[in-house]
Amino acid sequence: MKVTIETVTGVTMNREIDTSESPMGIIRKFYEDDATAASQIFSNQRAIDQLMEGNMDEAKSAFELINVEGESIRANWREPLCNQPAIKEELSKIEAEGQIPTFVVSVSSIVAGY
Amino acid sequence: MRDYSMDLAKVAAAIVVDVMGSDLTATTHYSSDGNNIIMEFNGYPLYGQRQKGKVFVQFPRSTFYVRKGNVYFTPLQQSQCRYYQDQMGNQFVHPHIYNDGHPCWDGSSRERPTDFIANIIETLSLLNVTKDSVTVGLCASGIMGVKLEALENAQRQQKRVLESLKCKPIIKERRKLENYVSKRWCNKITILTQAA
Repeated sequence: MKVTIETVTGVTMNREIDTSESPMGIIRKFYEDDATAASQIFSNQRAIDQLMEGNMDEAKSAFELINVEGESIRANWREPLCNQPAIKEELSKIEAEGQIPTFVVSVSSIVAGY
Repeated sequence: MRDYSMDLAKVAAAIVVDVMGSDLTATTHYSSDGNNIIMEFNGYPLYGQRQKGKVFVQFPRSTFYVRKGNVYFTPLQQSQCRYYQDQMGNQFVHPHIYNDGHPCWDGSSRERPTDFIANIIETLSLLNVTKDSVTVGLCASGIMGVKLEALENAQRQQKRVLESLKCKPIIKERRKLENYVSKRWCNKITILTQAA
């Protein structure tokens, strides 16, 4: 599925994602494919290293789908997107509108870097 | 140390692009004296020109800031804001923009970031040009003509902007636009401050 990954400050990147993957898997794959572009969604190098090892500060990080009204739906980082009913339902609505889904993504490390 | 004034201006510019269509791109930077922030929108269908070009929105750097973890917005006066096109200093072509680029605002709310962002969207899309605004409120400049001639020209340009950029349909309803902008702003600043 074609989606737009958006950083908090509005940098957008178009990606093809597999909804049978979890947000964590999607972002790891993104980083493996295009480290330069993907780096923009991480708060620092420590956050990148931690995510690649399967860790992150889930309270401070965000993987959120923006619906047609502008509301955000927070995704669980470790569940495949297709197993998250709220996300799945909203993706269908966005597709029905002929729009490309946008996920706002931000990844923070567990211990703040400097 | 993170530059939150710039980050928040980038968030605001991104919301403008989100609503107006991704054919428009935004870059945000400081003015040469460092006192203002300039949102630079590229890919805008310029009035009277075939090609697309740049539009600039300039406002004080103190408009957005973070203190003790909270995001603040300082309402600005119309004289502190500038709209330019092609290059800095060239007035943006709009009936309610003066020759020096500063807008002539109506009496609607200006207190929230949402008001500011929605107003940029309405100005760039010329949706704030109405029969009343040009006949009762009058035109700030005659760059598009005056009164009904200005309205006619503005509506033609508005149609071109909306079709060429593929703006979101909510743009035409102020209440829906405000709701959308407000939700997107709140969502972004929550993520931004949580990550801090």
